Amino acid sequence: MTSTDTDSLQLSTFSRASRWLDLTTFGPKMDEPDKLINQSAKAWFDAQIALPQSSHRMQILRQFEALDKGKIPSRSSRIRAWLDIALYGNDQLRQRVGYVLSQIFVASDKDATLSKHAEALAAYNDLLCLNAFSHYKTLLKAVSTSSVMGHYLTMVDNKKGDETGRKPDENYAREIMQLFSVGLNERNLDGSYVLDADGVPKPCYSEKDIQELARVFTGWVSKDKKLVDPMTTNESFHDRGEKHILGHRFPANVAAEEEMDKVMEILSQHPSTPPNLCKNLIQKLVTSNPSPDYVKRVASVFVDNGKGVRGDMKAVFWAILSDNDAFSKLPPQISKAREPWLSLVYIYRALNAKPGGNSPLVGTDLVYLRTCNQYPLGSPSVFNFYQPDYAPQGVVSNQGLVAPEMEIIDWSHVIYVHNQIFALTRLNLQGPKTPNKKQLYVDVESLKNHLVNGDITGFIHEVSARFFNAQMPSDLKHHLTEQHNSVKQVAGKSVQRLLFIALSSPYFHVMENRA
Amino acid sequence: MTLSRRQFMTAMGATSTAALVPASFSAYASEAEDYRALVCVFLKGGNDFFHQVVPLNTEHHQDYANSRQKLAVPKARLLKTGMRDSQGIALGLHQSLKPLLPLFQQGKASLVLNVGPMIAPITPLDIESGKALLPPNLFAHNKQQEAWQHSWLGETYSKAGWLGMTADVLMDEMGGMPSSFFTGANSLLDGHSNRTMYVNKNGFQSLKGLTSPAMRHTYQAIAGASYTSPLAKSYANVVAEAITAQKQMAKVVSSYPLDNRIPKSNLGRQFRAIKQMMDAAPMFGHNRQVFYLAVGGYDTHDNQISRQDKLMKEFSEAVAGFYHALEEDGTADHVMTGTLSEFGRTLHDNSRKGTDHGWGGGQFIFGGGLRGKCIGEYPAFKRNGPDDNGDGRLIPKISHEQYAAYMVKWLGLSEQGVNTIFPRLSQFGGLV
Repeated sequence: MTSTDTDSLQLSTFSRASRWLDLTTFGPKMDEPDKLINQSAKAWFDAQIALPQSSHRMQILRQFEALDKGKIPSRSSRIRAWLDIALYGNDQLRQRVGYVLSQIFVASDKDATLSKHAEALAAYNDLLCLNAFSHYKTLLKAVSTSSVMGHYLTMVDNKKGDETGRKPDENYAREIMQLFSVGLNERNLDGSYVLDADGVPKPCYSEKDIQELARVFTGWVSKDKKLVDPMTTNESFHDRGEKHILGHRFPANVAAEEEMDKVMEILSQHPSTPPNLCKNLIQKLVTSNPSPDYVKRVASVFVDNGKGVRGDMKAVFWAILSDNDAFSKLPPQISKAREPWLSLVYIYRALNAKPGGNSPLVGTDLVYLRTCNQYPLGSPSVFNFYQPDYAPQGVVSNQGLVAPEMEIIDWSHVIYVHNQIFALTRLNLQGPKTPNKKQLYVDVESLKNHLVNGDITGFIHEVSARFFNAQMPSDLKHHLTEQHNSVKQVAGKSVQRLLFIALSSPYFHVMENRA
Repeated sequence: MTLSRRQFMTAMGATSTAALVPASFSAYASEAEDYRALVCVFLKGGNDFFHQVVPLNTEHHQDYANSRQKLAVPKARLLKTGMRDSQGIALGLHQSLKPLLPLFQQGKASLVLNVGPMIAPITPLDIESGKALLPPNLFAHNKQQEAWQHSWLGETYSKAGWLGMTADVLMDEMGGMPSSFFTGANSLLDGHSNRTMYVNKNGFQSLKGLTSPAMRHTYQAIAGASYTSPLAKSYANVVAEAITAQKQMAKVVSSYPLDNRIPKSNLGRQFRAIKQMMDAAPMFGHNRQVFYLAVGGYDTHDNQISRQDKLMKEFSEAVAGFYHALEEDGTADHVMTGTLSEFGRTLHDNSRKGTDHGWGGGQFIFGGGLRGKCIGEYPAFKRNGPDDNGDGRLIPKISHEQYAAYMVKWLGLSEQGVNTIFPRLSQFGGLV
């Protein structure tokens, strides 16, 4: 498919419009898909990017002033600020994509140093959103020189080796290649591995490459105690000797920043970067098991955006999200487990949740440390919450498929998440007279009306539209009808029960096209 | 491909008759019928074991200090373990591990020195000549974490984990509660027929949405339905597991409270969660249990001294608390706790007051009723010395498989069983 073809992607039906919003935002709100029907997806995409960017840093400071008791913004205030933006921010596409980038260019407040720098983590989130649609080189440099990354992967204050045999820290040199660019092994454009004569994958780099690259990443310091401003250079710490990296010669006496730029260029130009990065992005946005052709189509756009430019991330995201496969192919080709954290956010958005007492700020952090086995910028290590090749044993691994998100979806967290879903549907705006500012209240009035009128068909139709892109499987419709008919109905409680059945089902927790 | 238990036993060379008798009587298991449990604690990030166990005698401490410069632990901060390596070098324990000192003094702790992931024995000459057979992606965290959990079959690693395969042989599970438990994602416990169960360090919650029999029925029907989408089925399977687990766990939680003699740290809460399963072993009818725990933060590229101090504090308090609880319960000799970690760290320090990814490291074993001992040699802590791979990383002398084999043999595998799960063990000289 050429870029002209996808530019004209029309959201011709409700289902397609809703699916588009499911992929490009934190979840469609009521009536949003209707407004998009027959609109051009590209026009919406461009308009979204043109919107002013929400600021996590500004928002955490608002949260801090209003609700924190300590002297500096807490981790909880960062999560509440994140929810403010995810639930009510207009720049949904940028935020959704920024969230994906936070799971590739991982920095985490689980780190002992960063745990005390919630404001800096919020600023790092902003940095990812700001650069999400720029060029890969620009994004990678912004990440590499950020003080947060400098502390997380320990490049800050890294110095040239000395006569005692002390060497520069290799941490960032290793992980930027394994996780942020080329990957461990060489890939073809379609994401498959390049094999040697014995059928063994070929490593992209050697230990020598890492040691040499570690010498490049010396001489960067952070002057901002808050870790918000980017790092700057101090040439006296920089290793100015000659180096050889991935077959490229770095001549002697070159400044740290110039060498940094050269590395960004080399990693961007490396043939394994487009397939390695693009496959990962597709997995985090659309499907766990993209076809080689899908990967190739997107990676080709990374290689050349049609105007001879490499690494145009705006073009890459458009290629991923507008690909015809994403709207037409059935599982397992297009199928992805919803991240538990995002499933909660989806529900709050779909049910137009609001903080109690007309508070302008979200007052709950969703007990983020235990509910979902994940929370934004809280990965246990730079390897993210789950690995892109994780395959749960059984029905997924038997078919040679992967399901990365399933790595954090265990029986115990299913109970935590399902309990959260059950509890949140109980807290509706028609509930207590003095609503608690620390809670989010959902609006289920229109759903309740169907049941008051004894109209289970109307209820199902609306739930299908708001949570299933109007494609609720007949199986689930059947269960809801049976449930409705078999239990004595008390409208308020019934909404909660029926929604719980629908929103705890695999049909909601796995995103896919349904025939 | 998944193998049924019988296929697995057949693959291991058992006759079809042998495959029908309980595994504990087969050729692959020893016949002990007492309770035994193996707890594997994965220290993620690559633990700097040689920051924790350091030579006490002047000559070797000097070599170590010369390599490690400012990071070197001074002799004054070392506690006497009374242990010597196979060369007679007296070994000290970092004072931040003090809660574990009594275990060393009482002979309840063992050390395994310079152990690492290997697929063939390696000499410095092999490395120099480029002929060494090295594990793929030797210094990458995720790949070496995987390597540690599997055995090398000659061209690839085993698909199942070595502890899962052990469980296949030792556990006679006809339903009921699984006897393999974990607190975090792993492949160590993946076997062919064994079943595994997640335990949550944050505690058990029961499903609150099942307010009526009709709700329960529908929820259960959706979990048990067939799905054309494999991922949807996979999610449904986890929900089905939640339904079963909540019944099982409700019973456990009401009969066996969390053991509050164990500290409440991250690792401590993991120990509490598995201790509950140990306490419930008689109720489950388990006479063998295996456990996987994991704790991160060991990738000490910077500020290693303060980072390691915190890590050692949490580790030693949690392990000691767990051990003492078992001791009071009279089961300490029936439970072995061993560490795993993807690699050790460099001989030299780096310019961030930390260390980089190494290769050979060391591991701890506690309890199990064995007389504590030191296995292996303290490596020559010299840059460009005989144990240096040329880049300041130690060439292991003991394969991770030898270490693993030592533990699963204790758990009850026969030598034949061990050699089947670790088919290349003999090239390293067999069991340590």
